[in-house]
Amino acid sequence: MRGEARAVASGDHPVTDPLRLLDTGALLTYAEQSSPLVGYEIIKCEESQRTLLVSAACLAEAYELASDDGVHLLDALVNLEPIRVEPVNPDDARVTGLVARRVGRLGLAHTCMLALASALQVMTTDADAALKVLEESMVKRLD
Amino acid sequence: MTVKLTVSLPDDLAALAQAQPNTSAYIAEALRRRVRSDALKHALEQAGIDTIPPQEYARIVQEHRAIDEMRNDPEFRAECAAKLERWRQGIIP
Repeated sequence: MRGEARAVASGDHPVTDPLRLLDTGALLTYAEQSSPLVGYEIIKCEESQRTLLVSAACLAEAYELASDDGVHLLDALVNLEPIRVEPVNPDDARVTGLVARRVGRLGLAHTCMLALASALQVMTTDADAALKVLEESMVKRLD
Repeated sequence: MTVKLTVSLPDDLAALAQAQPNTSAYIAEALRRRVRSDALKHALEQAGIDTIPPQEYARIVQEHRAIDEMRNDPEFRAECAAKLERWRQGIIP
């Protein structure tokens, strides 16, 4: 399938089955230590050899919005075993841009596209925006 | 590049390692896992997280099970694919 999320092995990381997508806000709750839930997900995914996917667009947004300390935690996060960063492919640009007009952000739009491509649930602090384009079962609200 | 090492192991682990087709690869993989696990533990500690409280653990297990049930439903996957195809055609809700 065009644009399907890939769990690509890099370095020592084995290929594992993806479980959820983390949106920008979810990354920031981890980076700013405002909620432990993403950390719990990472621990559980490491234990069960599962993967959490992150759109490169969301990662860029998180780096833009994070505090200086948060940037260091994001640096560590992206190298963790269960985290896989998904690129934005040229083929995805049109859909991502059109969906962003509805949800308000490119990162969330790309994440929603990956959610459909891989039938995955999105973990987000921006659930109301995600629900404009995704079914409720595909959105895990993080407050 | 590899380095030849002589190590001492407890009897049970030595027997396990020797039973593998490639003992060196088996031990190397175990060490790599340990390195990754230590890195994860360190990163989570930096983020102020050490372990999952039991009630949270139970909730997460339940949620992950529900996600897998959803993902394993061919109808759900077909709906996702169809919706994405509509998006590609410019039909965004």
